[in-house]
Amino acid sequence: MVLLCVVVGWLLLVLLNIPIGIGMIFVSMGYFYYSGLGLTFATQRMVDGLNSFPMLAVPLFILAAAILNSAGITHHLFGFARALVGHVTGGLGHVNVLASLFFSGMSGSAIADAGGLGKMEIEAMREAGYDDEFSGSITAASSMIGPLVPPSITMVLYGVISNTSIGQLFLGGIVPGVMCAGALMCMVYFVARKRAYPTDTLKPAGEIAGMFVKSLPALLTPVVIVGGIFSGYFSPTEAAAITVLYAILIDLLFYRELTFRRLWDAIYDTVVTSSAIATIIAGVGLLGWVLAREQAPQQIANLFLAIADDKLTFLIAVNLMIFVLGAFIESLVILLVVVPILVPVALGFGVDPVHFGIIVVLNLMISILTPPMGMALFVVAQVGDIPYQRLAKAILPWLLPPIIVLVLVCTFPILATGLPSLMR
Amino acid sequence: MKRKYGFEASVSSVLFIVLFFVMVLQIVGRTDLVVGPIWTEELARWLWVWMALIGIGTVERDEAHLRMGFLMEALPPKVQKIWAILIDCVYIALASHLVWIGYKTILRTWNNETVTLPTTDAVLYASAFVALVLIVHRIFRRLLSNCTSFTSTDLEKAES
Repeated sequence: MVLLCVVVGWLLLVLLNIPIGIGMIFVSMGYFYYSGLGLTFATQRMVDGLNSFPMLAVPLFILAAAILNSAGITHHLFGFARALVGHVTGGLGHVNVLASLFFSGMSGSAIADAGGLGKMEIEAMREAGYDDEFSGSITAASSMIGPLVPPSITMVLYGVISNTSIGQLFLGGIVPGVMCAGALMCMVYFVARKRAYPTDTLKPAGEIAGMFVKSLPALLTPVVIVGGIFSGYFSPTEAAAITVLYAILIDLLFYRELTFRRLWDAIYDTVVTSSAIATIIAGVGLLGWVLAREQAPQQIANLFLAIADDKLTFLIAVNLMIFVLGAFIESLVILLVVVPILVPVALGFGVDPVHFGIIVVLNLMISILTPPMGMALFVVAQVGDIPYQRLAKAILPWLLPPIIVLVLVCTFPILATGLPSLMR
Repeated sequence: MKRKYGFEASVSSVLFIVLFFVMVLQIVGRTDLVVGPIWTEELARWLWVWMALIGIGTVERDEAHLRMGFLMEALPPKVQKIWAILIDCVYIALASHLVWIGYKTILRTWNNETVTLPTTDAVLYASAFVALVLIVHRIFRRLLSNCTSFTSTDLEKAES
């Protein structure tokens, strides 16, 4: 009963426009006052929630993406993708997906992808005669690839809360990420053929090669990250610092578009975003303790044991739960509040932690596309100047390709665990 | 338009730059080029905690917190404003209580030795105290500005 009051109380506060993290702190403090426990350790728990070395990767990967966007590296990636697949039926739709796949190798955030590449992609598609609904939908849908292909902020956080190897998670996301890109490109092809969208002319091989050479330093980022982690040169957290260093270096050596002012703005914006995330993490530090004291994990585990007999039924139940929650609650909150409760249950059902991590991340990325609370939709609507209601309706068919990939990854664990097991 | 940088986030940005160099030192320190100090990991963690918590002041100033405001946005602006004032009153009360707890935490951890740094754990936990003081300051200013604009709008309406 008390647990129900805590959860409902928090949801009520959030619906009443109180910031998500602050709502957690409010409701936890209410619990402490009510139960007469006192708040002696409140600030200590909030600080301890943040005091984790792997968590340092979060601001550093956000900074790397911000630098890449500020340095105009996204323009080169978009240009190269356009030269490569712009002539195929579906033209700029494919370019959109491929550019996101390239960018995902450098950025760990879907929002950075939607915000950084989105404006440029939608403007190019609008100019070429694509309608806003199609342009906005494919821009939002392709941004979900970002956190699947390494590096990935979502995977770092999952690794921290579930005590799973972040390096293994990075590798595990590659195949599902490429599959999502492939599935979206198939859908682009069929929609574009039906609507007869324009295509570019095929560029001469020399021009494509020139663009490839120009984009190569940026394209090599995931090789540096994954290579560095698995050769033992640095940990995933240190890889985030190396990505920042690499982004600055390739700009200095090849692109030369980053100024001190832009770099400072990138750092400043990263700090503000990280602090907003930190509020939630600090809130989770406090609320997590309340949930543990009220035995929430045990109660959730009992609930799942009552409805699921085997691994597959459990995964179906978890996916449905995350999918429904994801439509209304911010994905980061689901990851930090709900997932830590689910991980021990998943392990009890014999699900591989890397497999479960990839499923969770994939489902959370679908949730950023599901209205009414689709974070990627908000960003794309804003940068693309498309009314949110129109985009929220147009995105629905585009949920199908990633959902198909999710079903495949659930059914065939090897798709997520194959690459990591090769490196073990 | 010239950008207005927040004081808290500017301080955090400097801490972030230091954090970045500490991380680079940690990586370089593992090679044969230089002998790496042992305190880099602990210092990097502490810098992250300080940076993240101090920056919340600017998040408050810019109202950049993650929130789900669609329900409240459907209400009339006047109701929204009254609600915001009420929330800030509760917020300031709870945050002030946390400031006191933060202060007591510093005193409690004053003698806890750290693993590698030549200081005590109180330096780490002081981050929450300092951040909360800055947050209370920001909420107080917002509350004052909301109350002032609310009364002045009412007066204007009454006059017209």
